[in-house]
Amino acid sequence: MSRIRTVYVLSTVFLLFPLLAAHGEAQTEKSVRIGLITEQTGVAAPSGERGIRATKLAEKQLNAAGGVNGSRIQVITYDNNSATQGTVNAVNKAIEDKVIALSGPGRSTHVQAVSPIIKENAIPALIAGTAVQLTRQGNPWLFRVRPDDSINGTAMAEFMAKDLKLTRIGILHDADAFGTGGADVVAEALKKYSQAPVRRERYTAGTKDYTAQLLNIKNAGAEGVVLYTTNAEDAAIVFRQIKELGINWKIVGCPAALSQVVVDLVKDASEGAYGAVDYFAEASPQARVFREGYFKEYNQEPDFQSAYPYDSLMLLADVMRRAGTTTDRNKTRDTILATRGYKGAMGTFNFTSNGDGIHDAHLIQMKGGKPRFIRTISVGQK
Amino acid sequence: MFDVTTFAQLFVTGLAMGSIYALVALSFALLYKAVGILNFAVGEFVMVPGFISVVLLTTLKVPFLWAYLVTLGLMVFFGAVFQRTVYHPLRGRPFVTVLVSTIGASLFLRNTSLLTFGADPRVSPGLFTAKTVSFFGVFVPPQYLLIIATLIVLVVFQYLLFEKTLLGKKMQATAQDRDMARLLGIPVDTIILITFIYASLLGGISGILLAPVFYVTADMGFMIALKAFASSIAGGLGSIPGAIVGGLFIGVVELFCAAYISATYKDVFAFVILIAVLLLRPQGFFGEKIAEKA
Repeated sequence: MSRIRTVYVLSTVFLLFPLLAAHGEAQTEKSVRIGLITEQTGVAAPSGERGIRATKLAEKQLNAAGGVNGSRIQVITYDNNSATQGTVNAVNKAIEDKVIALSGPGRSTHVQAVSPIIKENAIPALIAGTAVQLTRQGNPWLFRVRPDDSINGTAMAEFMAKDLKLTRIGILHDADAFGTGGADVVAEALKKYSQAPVRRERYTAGTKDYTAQLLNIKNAGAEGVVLYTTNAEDAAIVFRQIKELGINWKIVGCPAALSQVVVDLVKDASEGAYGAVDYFAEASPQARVFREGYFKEYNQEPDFQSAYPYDSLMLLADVMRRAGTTTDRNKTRDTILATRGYKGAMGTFNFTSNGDGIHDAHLIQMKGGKPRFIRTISVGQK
Repeated sequence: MFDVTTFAQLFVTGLAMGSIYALVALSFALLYKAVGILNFAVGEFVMVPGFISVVLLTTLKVPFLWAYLVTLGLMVFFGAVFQRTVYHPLRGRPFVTVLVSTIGASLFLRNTSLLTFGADPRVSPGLFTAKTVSFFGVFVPPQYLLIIATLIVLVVFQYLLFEKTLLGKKMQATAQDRDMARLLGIPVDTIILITFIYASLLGGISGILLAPVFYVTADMGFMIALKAFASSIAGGLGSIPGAIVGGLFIGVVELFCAAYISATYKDVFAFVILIAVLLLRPQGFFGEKIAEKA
């Protein structure tokens, strides 16, 4: 019996370990706590790790410059297991730990799940979920630090129809809220050019073989395809299998489809592909400074998965400085909304009353394993 | 809309995916048959050698042959350690206890890999420089052909091992009746250890073969293990030919369902097949009646 008990005790300790670890780092005096809600484990852990690295970098830089209003910035990371329930738990824990603001969640599905909790607890959350409706549901505490899908999707459709002059376009997308929402926008925006997608195919995250979907799109006669993928591993396999099946498409990927993780994995297969991206290292001096700092620290190229969490923390620090508070959430909220012309790594932040900060999409093409800038498409800034 | 090239393309890809399921199902079935445990860490039997081979090939730049041999060598060690820690202390305990222990091992291995190797997917260079070979408009990555060929070789090897060697006979005897085998002087514990090592080696071979195709991540084994589990049940739990036929069947059928019915529900089809088999033929294609096993 005792042996079994030992196994149980050990497994319990093992399972609780992440919680203990998060608690352990929580107590320091005179610090501003900011909760980072992200993916440390689970299927989206690769992109989560980039965000954590960037946030740690921002924390380090801010504290090296003396913190904000005399307090140190202290980021506490809460793992959401890449899952909706995990996100609910993570946000609840962050609120228990009395963080002043949240950086994240980063995904639409997760934001949707915790939106009521955020509203009830009146805590500013810098979200990165790109589903359009997130900031249109009367929750005054959500602030978006990425262009929403209507922006990327509309820009992608415009680029395919106007610049690439394609008339037969297929769509392959993740079946989650991000992929489905994005594909809907592309389909809607194509109507402006009197087009409809010739075929739409979906897959669930973690799929290892896309032959069926790709052949269905190919047999519908597509000349180009929109990839609205959520996870890097999935996008990488899709790119590789398009090449393996000998299909010669013009590919336009959503921001996640051509993230650095994907390009590192499939340099050859992503060659020539186009993408709409939120962040581009050559786009502005701020983006360049961020890129240099990140590269120096981690010897890895940053991508948007690192840029928006970095901007979130930097923006929050700037907001608290301007608001002259590190405790007043209402004041923090009003000051975020009043932000105009704040230059971050992602671009220039101009908050609308909905809480949308960024309104541009940058179009790029992969050449020799490197993204080359084509043009910026600005969409419907109100 | 039916066209032969598409059909052939789907069939060949399905066969390759099915071979992967079959290889992993083989490891799963072997442990069930010989030791009577359901090994839910079977996905990690693939993930661990995946990481080992990637580290050897990319970080340490070991040549292919040596990298593969060292990986398999380490998998012998891994199988032995797994047997000593996850199974041996709990042998003779109820079936479920060992099952939970393997789930624990799976979580432990996945999270340890995540901590050790980080979350970025790794890519392993393949043996082949050619991206695909094509026959009559059907494109096949050479790695897929290698996977199918390896499955065939292993099936023959396993048949010879079980049917033609004394060791194989001992393994079968141990599987059928452990107490009787012990009475006949078969070193049961050693045979069980060998079985674990062999199951681990099968995982090792799968991991090496999959690393260039799937990208190596801590979670890479999860879906493969589920499909292998489904294959194993469909084929007949604990049946070696069942695992192989079940794997190939699920690989091919799920792809056809995805292409001709709905790609969104691709993963669902594998489990619909599983439920259908359980309803219509609970013992699987080749299995004994499950009731007898309980």
